[in-house]
Amino acid sequence: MTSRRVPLLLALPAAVLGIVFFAWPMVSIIATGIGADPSRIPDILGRDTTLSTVWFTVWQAIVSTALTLAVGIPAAYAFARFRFPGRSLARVVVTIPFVLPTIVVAIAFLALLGPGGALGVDLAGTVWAILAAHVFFNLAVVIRTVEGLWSHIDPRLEEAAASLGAPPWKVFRTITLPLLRPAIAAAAAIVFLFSFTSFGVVLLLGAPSLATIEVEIYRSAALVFDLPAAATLALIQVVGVTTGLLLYARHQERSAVGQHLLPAAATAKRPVGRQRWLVAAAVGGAVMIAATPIGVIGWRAVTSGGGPGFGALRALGAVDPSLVDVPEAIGNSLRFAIIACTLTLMVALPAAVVISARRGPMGRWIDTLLMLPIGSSAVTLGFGFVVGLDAPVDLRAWWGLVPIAHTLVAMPFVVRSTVPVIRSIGPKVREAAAVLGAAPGRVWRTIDLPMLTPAAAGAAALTFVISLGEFGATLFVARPGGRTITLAIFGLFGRPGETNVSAALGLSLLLVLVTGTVVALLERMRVPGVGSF
Amino acid sequence: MLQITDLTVRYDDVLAVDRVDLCLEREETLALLGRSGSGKTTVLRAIAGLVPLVSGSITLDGSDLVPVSAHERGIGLVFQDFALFPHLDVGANVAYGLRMQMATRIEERVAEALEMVGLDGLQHRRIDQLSGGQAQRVALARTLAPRPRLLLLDEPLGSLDPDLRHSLAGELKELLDQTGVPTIMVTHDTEEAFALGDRVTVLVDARIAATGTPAQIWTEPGSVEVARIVGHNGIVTAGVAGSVASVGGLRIPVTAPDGTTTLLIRPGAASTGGPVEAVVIESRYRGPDWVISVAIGGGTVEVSSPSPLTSGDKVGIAIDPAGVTTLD
Repeated sequence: MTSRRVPLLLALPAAVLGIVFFAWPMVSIIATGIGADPSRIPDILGRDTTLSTVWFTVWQAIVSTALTLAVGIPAAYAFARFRFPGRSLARVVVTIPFVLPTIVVAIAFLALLGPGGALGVDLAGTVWAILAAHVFFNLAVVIRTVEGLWSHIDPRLEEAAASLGAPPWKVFRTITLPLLRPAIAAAAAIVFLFSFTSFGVVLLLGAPSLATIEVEIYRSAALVFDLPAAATLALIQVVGVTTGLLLYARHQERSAVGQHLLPAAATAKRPVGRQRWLVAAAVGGAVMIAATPIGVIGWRAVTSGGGPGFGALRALGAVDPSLVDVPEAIGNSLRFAIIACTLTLMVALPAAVVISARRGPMGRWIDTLLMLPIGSSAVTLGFGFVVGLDAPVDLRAWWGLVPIAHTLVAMPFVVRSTVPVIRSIGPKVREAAAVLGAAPGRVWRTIDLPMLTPAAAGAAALTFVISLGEFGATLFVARPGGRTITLAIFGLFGRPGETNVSAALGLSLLLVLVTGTVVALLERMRVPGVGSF
Repeated sequence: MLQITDLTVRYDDVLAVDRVDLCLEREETLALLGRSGSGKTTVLRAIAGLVPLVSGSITLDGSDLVPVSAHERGIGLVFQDFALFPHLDVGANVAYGLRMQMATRIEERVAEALEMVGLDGLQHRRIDQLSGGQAQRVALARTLAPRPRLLLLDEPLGSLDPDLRHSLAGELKELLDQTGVPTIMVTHDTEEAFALGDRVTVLVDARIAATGTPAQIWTEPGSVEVARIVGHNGIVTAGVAGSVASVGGLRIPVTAPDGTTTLLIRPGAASTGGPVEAVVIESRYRGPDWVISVAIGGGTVEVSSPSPLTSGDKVGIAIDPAGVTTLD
């Protein structure tokens, strides 16, 4: 099997899944939004709440992006250019927030700067809490993406500029920054996208006046039952985000500078003199931002619920099952995560193989197409399931929708992280095996398969983590008896009583531990693409 | 004009440059010759201000350079693979140093610099569309445009094809003579060092092993390492008794004490037909004649012969004592 001969047929399952469970729901949203009563659209668009929601969504995303870049770029510099003790551990710590479920991020920030929070100030319901949570969550995207390019840029270019008379800040502005632009732009686009479509964080940390489009879709559809309004908002969301994604893809192509890249090991050195302070401040700051909220969850889980020891664990058993059935939620989450992993291996991985083999426009198109679920957002996807999957067969009450939604949400991440690994299996390796006497089947078994295994393991692990933490789509799609851990956390937090809050913290800690372990394993296996785009 | 004393540089735990002294006169080109890892590039980086010194002083026209940061030194450095800015076109690369000086008539001076290296009108060419030779010229133009006080060249021809190296070496020599800027160039190629350097300094293991004109280094390399770097083969061991070194019947007056010494028999000093006994190792056709490698005194010497000789045969050779020198 050579890279050019990969049959397109392998992408068929992904295409079918995409059409039935993504394209069709989106079409249904459009039908609901425009089809039901077109005359209402100007009315919905013209509402003050719609305008202010869109405005808030845009500006908080811009500010979140700027703040994340401000914290992330110095840390990326430190990770890219220097070797220092504790470097790998620090990289794991700053990566964990990115894979934390958004609901856990929200709980962590409530525990940190909510009512009675560890910081002693109540910022819940203010934009500061939302911005802080977005910086925390997205830091890894900036650090990983920018570091990825920075560590390969030839330091001699900067030295050449210095010897031509450029003082350090001019070297940065005229040489380093332009060379880093593709990575910074990519990171900024992704952070903007995630902040723009932020749901769980804004739902829990925001206020009625502080809602993203995503939160308004949920409120309109699930609380007010104004489906046309929800559909119109979903359309605004999809159009805005898709435009952003396409601009980003085009920009990526144009701003790519053909530069000679060095191996990262050749550019990193020990920090000396002033550089030590810089590295310590940049890395220390990023690690503190990443570790504090996680630490607070752990601390509160241990100390809450009264009495010594793991109060939160005891609280889990004490929750009234008629309100929130905790054991059932854990069971469901595991079941759905395993099904989503299986689906990923059967559907997304073959698609990734197809994309890897096609470098031309075709590959790029499939690639952009698979990015769309990120763009349309999980809430829109869930909403689409609810309005779209009633005919010809009414699937809306089917439990299987939850793992399918999880697979779709995970798909872009899976593709992004596995394609580079698969591409790195060069045709020369296969040719070498063939020349050494391996028949095509043997080449596949002895070369491709062993080299694909880490990619597959990474894809499965990523899907597992995303499925466990998925909140937005699950909130729409899950039915009684099919609720997951994230829904249980949400339900517990909405109820009074210390036992409930304590149990929510316990479940959050459980998710932190599981996702943290998976990330550490992926890092150990050197699966690229966790948090990098 | 450039005076370097006791220069020492350390990378992590490796001593890269060890107590090096150098001086450079106005309009002079000095070639730093050495194997890779001998510290020659580090000397350049130290002069340019790109590495911190452990100790030593560097003065240019009497003023101390050490406290001056790299961007204020006014020293031009051409990197080994040129380090052209990939996001700027040729013109913007050449203009970069002029912009930093806030120079006037930038466009004009860019055009002049490009003309000087024979790339007139290439201002808008992208960097990735340049051939290796063109990239080297752009790098030179970029470095010379701001009129540096001192020019440092790191393997200026090192990354080019052998054909190109030959023709560009001539051009480079002309350019250096024309601009008159004092130059230190680093190379691992003896031919290049001899062709371009007014003087040559040989570095071995982070230290200076020899300094002199190309002719001096060639005829009196002084040590085995330098002789090998310069490309000599005829290094043999001889016994010494009463200030006379003898090997295979060859007797040469030396100043060494009794015991053994190392002799360098320069190419051309040995010929076939003489009293010195040697054993043929191999014969190799070189064009009009044959080069015969013969074993003598634990080393090999090359002699020319109109016809090949059989390997293993004994042969008598003559050695001109004027072509023999002692090595440390």
